[in-house]
Amino acid sequence: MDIRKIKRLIELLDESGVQEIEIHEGEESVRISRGGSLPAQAPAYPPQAAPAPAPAPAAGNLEAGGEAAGASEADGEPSGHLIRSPMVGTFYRASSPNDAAFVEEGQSVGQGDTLCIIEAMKMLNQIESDASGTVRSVLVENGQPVEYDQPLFAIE
Amino acid sequence: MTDAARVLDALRRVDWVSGQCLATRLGVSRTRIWQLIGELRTLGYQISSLPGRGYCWHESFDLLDSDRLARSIPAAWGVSLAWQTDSTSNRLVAERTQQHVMFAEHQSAGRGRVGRQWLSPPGGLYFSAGRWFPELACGPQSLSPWIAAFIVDALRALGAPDVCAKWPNDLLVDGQKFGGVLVEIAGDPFGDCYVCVGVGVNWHAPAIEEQSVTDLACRLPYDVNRNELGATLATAVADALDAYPPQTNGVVVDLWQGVDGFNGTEVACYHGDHVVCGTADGIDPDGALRLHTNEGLRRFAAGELRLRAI
Repeated sequence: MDIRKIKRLIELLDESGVQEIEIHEGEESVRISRGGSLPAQAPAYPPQAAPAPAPAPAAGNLEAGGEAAGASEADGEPSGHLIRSPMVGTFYRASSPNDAAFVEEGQSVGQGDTLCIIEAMKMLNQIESDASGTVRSVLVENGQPVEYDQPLFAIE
Repeated sequence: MTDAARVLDALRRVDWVSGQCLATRLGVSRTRIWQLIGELRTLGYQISSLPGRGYCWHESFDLLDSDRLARSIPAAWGVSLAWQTDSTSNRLVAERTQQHVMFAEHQSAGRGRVGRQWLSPPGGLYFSAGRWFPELACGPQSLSPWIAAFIVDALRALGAPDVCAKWPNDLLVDGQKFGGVLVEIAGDPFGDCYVCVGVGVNWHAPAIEEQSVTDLACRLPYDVNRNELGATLATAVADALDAYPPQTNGVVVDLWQGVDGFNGTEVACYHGDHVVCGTADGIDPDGALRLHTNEGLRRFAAGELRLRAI
């Protein structure tokens, strides 16, 4: 197929707003689609149609620390008794960088012992253990944003 | 009153005074006076000495007085005063005293947000107020702006109309910070918990170079006594805690709107390596900052956020 013909087809596609064109000529065929793996959205036709009004303000998602927030692990949750974050915020293992962490892995803790701090809106929430046992794992890195209900510690 | 505080109290009432005279008044040796003056200078008090004239504390001010403070703070609240402590919030969170305000003239380890120190030079006002909440079903989210709004309202009523707040709870005047609030919560933040509110305010600003700080003393229309100002601030925090949570969701939004120094202005929000620019639009009932950006409305709850007028 003539390369100029393909170029013309691409231009045609650009001008039209059509998502995909497929041409068959004898043995040869060519398919040109825009956007690669874009989901098959219904083409907005005519393309200059006014965009829908912005969604209602309430739709804004709460952001803990910006784009990085929200890495939830639906599967593969660790075993043991899980201490979960009661709020959106930033996870701290010590009250200051110079202080020792409240708890380390392998350490035994009692009910009511402070495990970490979650900071939100300049509020430092001391998260206390609701169970006694041994800290099996610390599931979040110091200084990372955490989501509501995200597991923080596994205690056995 | 500690010996160091008694030296200051004696110096405050006179111009120049000899070491011998101070020693007689306090009932201690002249060597002890010399030691105490050294301690006070280390703490940051500017005390001059001249041979033949003795000592002079030029920029003297009233020391805090627990009786005077207690008289002006709601009766349900206990009041204590320390000459020096690590941090009033540390003390209160450790003891978890119900409805109690603790003042300190000096903090050796005043706390800011995690990892930051709060400098506590002489002459500032440093206190923490603690209260138990048996049932905080709605959670503590809007406490920070709620408390800041009560403080701003109280200072405006005292005669400083230009005072405003910066989300979530910095205290500003003419774009400069003169105080901050740090809330600490121990226990179940949605159930039975102890809330401790630490407040630090520059009354006479420390001379820290290249830092945008100001003080309150020069903003008030008359010479507000330091004890009066301390009691006003503590009362605002006690009232805020006693009134929390608000009856309806809209109350904190409206209250904040009245004190928000950045409402409707173009701001840049810093968090980590990211900067998000937009137009500030107050807060939501849960205390989250609302920012209108090119990508629509975004809400911020936590993280390393700073807010600056561009």
